Amino acid sequence: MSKILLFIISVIIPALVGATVIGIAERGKDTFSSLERLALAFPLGAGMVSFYLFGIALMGFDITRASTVPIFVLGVFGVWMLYQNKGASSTGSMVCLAPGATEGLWKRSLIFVFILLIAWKLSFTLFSAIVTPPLFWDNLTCWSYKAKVIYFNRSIDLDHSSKSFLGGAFSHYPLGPSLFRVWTALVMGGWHESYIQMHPFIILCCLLLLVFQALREYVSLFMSVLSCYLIVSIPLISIHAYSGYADIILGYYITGSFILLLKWFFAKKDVLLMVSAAFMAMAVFTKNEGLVLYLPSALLVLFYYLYKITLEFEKKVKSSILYTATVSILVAPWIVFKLLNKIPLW
Amino acid sequence: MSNYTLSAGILTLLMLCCSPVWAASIELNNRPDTYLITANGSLALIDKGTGKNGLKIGGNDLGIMFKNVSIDIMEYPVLKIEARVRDPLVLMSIVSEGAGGRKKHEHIHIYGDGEYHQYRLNFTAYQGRAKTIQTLYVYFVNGDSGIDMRSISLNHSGNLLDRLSIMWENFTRPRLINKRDMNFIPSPRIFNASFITILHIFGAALLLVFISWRLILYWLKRRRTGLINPRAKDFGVEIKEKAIASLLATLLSVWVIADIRNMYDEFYHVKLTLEGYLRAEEGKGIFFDFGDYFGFLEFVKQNIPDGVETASIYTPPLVDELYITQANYYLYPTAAYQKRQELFKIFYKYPFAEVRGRELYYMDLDGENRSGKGMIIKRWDKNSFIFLESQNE
Repeated sequence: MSKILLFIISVIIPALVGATVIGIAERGKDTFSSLERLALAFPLGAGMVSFYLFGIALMGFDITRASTVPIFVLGVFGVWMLYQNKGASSTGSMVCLAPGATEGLWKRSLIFVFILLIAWKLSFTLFSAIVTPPLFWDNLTCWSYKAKVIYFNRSIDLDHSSKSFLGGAFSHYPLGPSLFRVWTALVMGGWHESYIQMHPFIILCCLLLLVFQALREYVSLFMSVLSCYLIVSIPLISIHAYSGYADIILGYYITGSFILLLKWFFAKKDVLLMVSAAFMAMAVFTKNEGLVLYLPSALLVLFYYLYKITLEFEKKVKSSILYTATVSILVAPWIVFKLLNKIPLW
Repeated sequence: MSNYTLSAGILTLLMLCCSPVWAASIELNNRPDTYLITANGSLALIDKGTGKNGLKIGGNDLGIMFKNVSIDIMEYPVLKIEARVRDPLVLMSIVSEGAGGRKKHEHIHIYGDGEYHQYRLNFTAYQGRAKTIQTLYVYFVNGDSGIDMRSISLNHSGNLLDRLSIMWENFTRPRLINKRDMNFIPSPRIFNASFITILHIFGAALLLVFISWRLILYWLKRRRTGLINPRAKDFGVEIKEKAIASLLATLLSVWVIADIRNMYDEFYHVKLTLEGYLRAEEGKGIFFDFGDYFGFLEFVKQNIPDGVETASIYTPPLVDELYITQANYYLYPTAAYQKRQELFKIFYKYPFAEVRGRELYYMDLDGENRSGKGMIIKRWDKNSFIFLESQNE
């Protein structure tokens, strides 16, 4: 089967997994619009895949092509769910407060210009991701290196004294990004550098979609497009997106987590809180800054909000438990493993 | 126009065009202490007379070194190099070493059309206080057909027009990909300041002018309408809104201008990648200053015998340790070491290794001469091959 087709499958299956998880969490009540679902599905699914591979390694299983079967099954289940729900209309999570007032001619021209600039930036980043050989230090010694070690050894070495322990380098760094690269290699049946490096680029596209959709509910089309342009034109964004670093991935999870948390402040729908918590857990499993900086910030914001608002006590407790339990269930295996093996938490 | 105004205009024009004599240029190719850096990293002194008609750097040579440059006598030094190459992706790396041993470098892509071109580098812009440069290195990468350097000199940058022309050349020179780009925001230099700094200063000045102009217009309007003392609240709110909008518009304009300049670098990056790396014959692509290293690593990966877990790798003198890190990554699960004697040996453009029959003679990285019996698995080029040493021979 051609490499491109296999790569597409390696992206679509996690996206379907993410869509399935969202669908189950929604419990029949459509909370997200189609564009939001598209922006959330792949990163959520990719994070779940990483947690899954780590979980099976902890249970003593090898990481081989056979390990991908449950994910494929969940992905196919997601297709079935989408087919079942295809008739349902999606109302989206919020009423659009800026329902597209007509932009003047000069603003429409600027929107067109900014879209062209965004298109160039993304095209350049995609080109570089495919063509540029691994060039930068952290990718060569950590993110892709650990993935290669795990892939070629067909397991995560959990022996503290072994040279290939937790990927053979920087054992205190989380395995999220590396494990997704292992997934890509497993599905493709081999280590193909150009495709392995595409993960941060796809996450960047999802980030732009998420920001656009989130802003669109409050501001005009011009401001939404402008915001996306400002993000993608940050000088280091494209280089991080094509070099295989984990910072774009971390940036997505933190941004997504806080956007959904803020939405929950207004909508009070459980699915928003759960996905926000899941993203925060994935941020913790991406880089240590997730644990040290962003998780405490999120908890502080959440608990302060619950303290200040007028809401029934039971609902406040339920919300706190829902958030912390979701984060804990996903990230506890990693944190506990670190503590038991005396690996620095950051 | 009065005679006074005309005279002032002519005088200004003359000042712009004329070069004040502050310091004579230093012809570097016609000085003592000029060395050719050969393929093995050693220095070969170039006779003063030989360099008079230009310098020729061979395809295997690494570059030129100029010692005792000492440009502390020169204001606004500009390095001018006239060179020609025939290969498509030759990179010239200029490294200046100050009195304290601190090095700064700049990469320039040379046009590979076989014609002489002049390249000018404003040292003030790139080196800060350039008066302390002692040694100058000019390295060439990917110049397999050789480089002809007709002249290389350090000059005073002359009059204002001259400096503007050099500034424009430096500004429009695309910045090539660099492994340090991960931690820096690249920006071309305008004289001695970064382009982004200049934009912000320009933006702030524009904003100040705009707000002042709005304030003046508002005051004049109020005077015309007879309201000399407007209510402070209205006055404050209107100016505040306009000031914030102006500030945001100015910042956005500055951002877009800086981004467009950045996109120019990206276009050039795509162009050179297509020309040198993608359109080349398979495995012979050149990727910027890494040359054909990635093609070589792929070649090694395809030819490593089964069961080889470790390898020694020998790289050309003066290359970055990143080469070893890349080899270690690319060849995994085979681990590549630089200072270990393994049976499986990888030589990449290594000038200190030779195979005669089944005998390998080489110098290791500690300078010790070694030999071994075995066989060449496969050869990449004259100084690049993979060798498997026999055990117990």
